[in-house]
Amino acid sequence: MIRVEHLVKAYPGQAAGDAARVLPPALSDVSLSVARGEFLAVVGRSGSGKTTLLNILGGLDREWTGRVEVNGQDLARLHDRDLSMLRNKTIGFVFQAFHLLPHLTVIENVTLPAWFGNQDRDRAEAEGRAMQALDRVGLANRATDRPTRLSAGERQRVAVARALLNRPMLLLCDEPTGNLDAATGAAVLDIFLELNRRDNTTLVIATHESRVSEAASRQIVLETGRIVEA
Amino acid sequence: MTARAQVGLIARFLVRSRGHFAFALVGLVVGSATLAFFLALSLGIRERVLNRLYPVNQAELQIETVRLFGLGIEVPSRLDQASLAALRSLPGVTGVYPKQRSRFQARLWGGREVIGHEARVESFFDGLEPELLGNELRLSEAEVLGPEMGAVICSADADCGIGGRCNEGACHRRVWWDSFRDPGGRLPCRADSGCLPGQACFDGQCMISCAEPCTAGAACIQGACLRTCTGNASCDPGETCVQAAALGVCRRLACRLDDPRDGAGDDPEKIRGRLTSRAGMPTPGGGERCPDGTYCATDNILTASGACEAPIPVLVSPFLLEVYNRVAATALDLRRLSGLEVLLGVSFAMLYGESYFVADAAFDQRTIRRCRIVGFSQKAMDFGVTMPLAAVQRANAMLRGRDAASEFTSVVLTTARNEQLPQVIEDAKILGLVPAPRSEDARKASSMLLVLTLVFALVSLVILGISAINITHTFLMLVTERRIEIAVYRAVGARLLDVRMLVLGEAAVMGAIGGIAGCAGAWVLGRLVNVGASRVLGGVPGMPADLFLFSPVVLLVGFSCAVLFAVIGAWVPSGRAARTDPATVLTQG
Ligand SMILES: Nc1ncnc2c1ncn2[C@@H]1O[C@H](COP(=O)(O)OP(=O)(O)O)[C@@H](O)[C@H]1O
Ligand SMILES: [Mg+2]
Repeated sequence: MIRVEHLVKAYPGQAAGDAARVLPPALSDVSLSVARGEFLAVVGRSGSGKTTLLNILGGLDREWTGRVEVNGQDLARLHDRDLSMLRNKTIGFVFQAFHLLPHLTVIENVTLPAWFGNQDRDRAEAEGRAMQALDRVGLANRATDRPTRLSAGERQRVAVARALLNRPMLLLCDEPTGNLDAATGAAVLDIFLELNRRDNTTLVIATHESRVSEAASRQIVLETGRIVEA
Repeated sequence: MTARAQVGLIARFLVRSRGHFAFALVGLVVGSATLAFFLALSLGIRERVLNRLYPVNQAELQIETVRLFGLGIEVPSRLDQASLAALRSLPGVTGVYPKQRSRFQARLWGGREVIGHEARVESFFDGLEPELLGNELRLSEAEVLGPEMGAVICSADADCGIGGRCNEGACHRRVWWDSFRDPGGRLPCRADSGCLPGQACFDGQCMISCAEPCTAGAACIQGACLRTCTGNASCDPGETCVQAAALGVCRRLACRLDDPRDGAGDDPEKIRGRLTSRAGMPTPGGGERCPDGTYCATDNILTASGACEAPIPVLVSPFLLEVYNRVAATALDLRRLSGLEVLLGVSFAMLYGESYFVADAAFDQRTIRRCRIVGFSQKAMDFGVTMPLAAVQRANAMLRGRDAASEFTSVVLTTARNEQLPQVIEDAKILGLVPAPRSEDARKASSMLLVLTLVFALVSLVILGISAINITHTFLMLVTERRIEIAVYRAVGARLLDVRMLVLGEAAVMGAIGGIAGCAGAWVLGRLVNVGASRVLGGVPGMPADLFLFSPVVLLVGFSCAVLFAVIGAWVPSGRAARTDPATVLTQG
């Protein structure tokens, strides 16, 4: 599903300039592979490069060197059009800060990926799938609410439903439970586990919570941009 | 992203940010309104005022008048067939339309049916080639009489009111413009020198001699070229199709008045005289009169014998009506005329050879001809009437002979493109021809109008440019405000192009709204200005009722400029939007 070889990512100002005061790159020589259906936890302290890795895997960040393949496609060589299609169809994102659009209803937020598909599918069909996705996260009854009226846990579940709309093979979650209390975080984690088990969805979750990493089938530990433990 | 999804998103964007757009939209509306307003005004004035005098690709030239005290070398030149041929060969010239004035004294009387009194005035007239007017008569007629075909459903002519015709179940009003052409007529003569160039005198009547081969559609009968025909319909009014040498040819019907003095009267029956036999023609049945729509035009006022002819169609200048209403009607206590339309179809008689100003011609030189007003044109004489050129040439030949009939007063030149005109005018100077004063004025006015139009168009473009800058600012702000939203779109699969098109599409929709509102506003403003102008300038001759011409092109320009400037304004912000980095926006803060 995922193959990463010698990935190096330096933000502007990193790994450059005066040799004495060089900042380490956000990711240096990262190599890893994730099989279809795996649940990989990426752990590490804040600033260790977890988010950077997930952004690159998801094609949101294109400035790096090395080799990254997702679902057999070499991300460096993909045209923006194809990379966007990959994000639309194959990858689902869940962010720590949810990023639901406040001016849209819950169901509209969940349907959003369908807007950017490359074929004009039936609107009713897209809403049907959105309802299914909401049903999976247990929020079918809140479909017409505005996200601002939901609790943090509910918002993250809506965000998960949005990520699930096009039934992606790969789910990239950046500290999905970071903004949630223990109980709601556990509920969201249960959803992930079930997705992994039932649909064979590949999960890559960045976290620093041991509860999450323990549930994973495998974990890697990042420290200042290097994998120190696999 | 599909077009439908895009439209949906743009609509949401617009509705959500409408407050931000109000200001930018005002600029677009004002800019496109100004543009459409001035373009329509300029086009209206060009089409309805200037082009009716002289279209931009036309100029009227005349012989340079000799300045008595000037030092210029006198060029003894004539504007005749030879000069016309020379003008035709000038590069860029597409049309050469000579004009000829009457060269003899004449009086006219008539008009009782419209002014309630028989007017008797000195008459001046000129002739021009009907093709010169193009579609103009038809348009000016439609302006005063409305469309040729009305919405009224009918089964018979009687359902359509006076002058209306029922055609295929719908009423058609009486149409006049197509009758402004030479109706033909007999030119009596004593010698060849009293005929037009190329004609000879046969039995007291001018005809084209077959010394040269006849043109197509004519046959040589007894030394004269006669038009061939299949029936009376293919001959001029007053002619009949007769068999000669196994061919049908047009012969003019000969007629006699009961009394020579009947020709000056106004009894319609008496004027039509009685048909008489003539050599080479079948004798008509006893007592038959000239055919419908014709009268018996005698050779001179002393004789009762003549030929059937249709009245000469004439045009009058709108200016004439104005002068009549302003001056004559008040001073002489005559009925004022409401509009040009009441003059259509009015008949009058013209007496060639008599004058209030100068001595009359000999009795046997005086001739009565009938005329009928069939239209108005700014190109018609201001004081007098305008006939088809051939009718004036016949009259000049009849009273002044061939030389007078073959010299023209002026000539209108048309060129394929406006830019060619100055060079053509320059070239024509060699022939001793200079622009007629009115033509010069029209050209100056035309250039002035062009400059003014450009200035106002520029002003509108500046307004639009300012609103484009405004749009740039508004959208830059909005793009920043919406960066999370844009980043989310990118994360769930929006392409760079999708993001860009969303912003540009939004601007285009705004531009379209502004453009439509602007054009509509310009149109409404135009109506108001028309009302105001008719109050202030209503009496100015030749002032059109509608100063504006909101042609599809004008509306399209107004609309598309608004869209274009909105899109240009949103160009930079759309690039900024596309460059929104989802990784940074979505994972920090
Ligand atoms: N947009 C950015 N510009 C510059 N440096 C950044 C940016 N994002 C992250 N970094 C730096 O890169 C390193 C890795 O950050 P990040 O991937 O966010 O770590 P984590 O998600 O594990 O907390 C940190 O040193 C951070 O300061
Ligand atoms: Mg992070």
